[in-house]
Amino acid sequence: MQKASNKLDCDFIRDNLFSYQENKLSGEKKQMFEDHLLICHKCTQLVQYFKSISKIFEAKRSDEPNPFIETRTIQRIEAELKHGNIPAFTFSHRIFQPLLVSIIIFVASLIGFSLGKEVDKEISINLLRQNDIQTMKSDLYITDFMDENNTIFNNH
Amino acid sequence: MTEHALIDGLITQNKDAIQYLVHHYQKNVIKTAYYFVDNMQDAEDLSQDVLLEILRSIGRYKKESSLNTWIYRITVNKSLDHLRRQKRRNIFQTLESFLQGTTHEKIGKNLEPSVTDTTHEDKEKKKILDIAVNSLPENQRIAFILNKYDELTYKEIAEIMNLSISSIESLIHRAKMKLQNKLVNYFSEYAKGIK
Ligand SMILES: [Zn+2]
Repeated sequence: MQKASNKLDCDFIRDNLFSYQENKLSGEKKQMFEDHLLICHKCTQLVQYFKSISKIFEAKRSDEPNPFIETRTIQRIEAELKHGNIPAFTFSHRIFQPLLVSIIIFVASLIGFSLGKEVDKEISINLLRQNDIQTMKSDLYITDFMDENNTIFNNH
Repeated sequence: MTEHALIDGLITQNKDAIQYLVHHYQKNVIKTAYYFVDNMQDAEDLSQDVLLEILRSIGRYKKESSLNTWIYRITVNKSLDHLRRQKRRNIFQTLESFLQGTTHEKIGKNLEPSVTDTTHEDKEKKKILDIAVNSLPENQRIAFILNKYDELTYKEIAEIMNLSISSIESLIHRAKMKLQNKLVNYFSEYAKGIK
C-alpha cells in the first residue's frame, strides 16, 4: 500500500528542485526525493515542469551569435581607430604620463611647502607686532585696561 | 600569442593583436552579454562596445587580475548598464501606453497561456524564467548567471566580482532558493490553467 503524501515531504521537493536537477543530492536524500515522487502526483508534475524550465538554460547556452560578427567588429574597430576615437597608449604615453604626474606632484608639494613657510612668516610678524605694541604701550605708560584678549571681561 | 604579448600589442593598437582579441574573446563576451540581456542582437552590439572599451582602457589595465577576469568585469558592467537603460525606456513606454490606454490589452496578450502550441509554450517558459532571473537582486543575479549559464567556477566568479568564495556560494544558494520559490508559484498558476 502507498503512503499518503504529507506537506513536509512536498516542501522537501520544492526546496531541492535545483539540487535534484543538478544531481547534487546525497544518495539518501535522492532516494527520499524519488520515493516521494512515486506517491505524489502534484510533485511529479512540478519536477517535470522544473525540468522543462531547466532545459531553457541549456537551450540558451547553445544559441550562437551571427557568424559574420567578427568581420563586422574588426571593420568597426578599424573605422574607430581611423577616426581617432581610440587614443593610443604609445610608449611615450606610458613613460611620460607617469613622469608628468610625478613632476606635477613634486611642483605642487614645493608650492605647498613655500606657502606653508609664508604663513609661518606671517604668524611670526603678527607676534612681533604684538610685542612691539606691548613695548610701545609700556614706553608710553599706557595701562592695560583692555588688551586684545579682552582679559578684563574674563576676570570674574 | 601570450597574454603579455597580446596586452602590449593592444596598447600599441597592433592589427594582429586586435584581430587576436576579437577572434579569441568576442564570442565569449557575446554569450555572457546574451545571458544577461536575453537578446542576441543586443549582445552582439554590446560585445563591440566591450572590445572598444578594452582598447580604450588597456593602458590602465593593472595586471592584478587576469585579462579574462578583467574582460568579464567590463562585459557584466556593460550588460547591466544596458538593462538599466532598457528599464528606464520600458518605464517610459509603459507610461506612454498607459496614457494611451493600451497597457491592459498588451499584458493580457503576452501572458495568456496556450497549451496547444508547444513553441508558444516554450516561449512562455523562457519568458517566465527570464522574469524570475531578472527579479533577483543584482549580486545574486550576476553570480547565478555566471555560474549557471557561463558555467564558471565559484573561484572564477569570486575573482570577477571581487568577493570571497563563500560569499559567492551564499549568493548562488540564495538565488536558487528564490528562483525555486518563484517557479513553484508560476507552476501553481500554470497547473490551474491546465485544469
Ligand atoms: Zn508532494
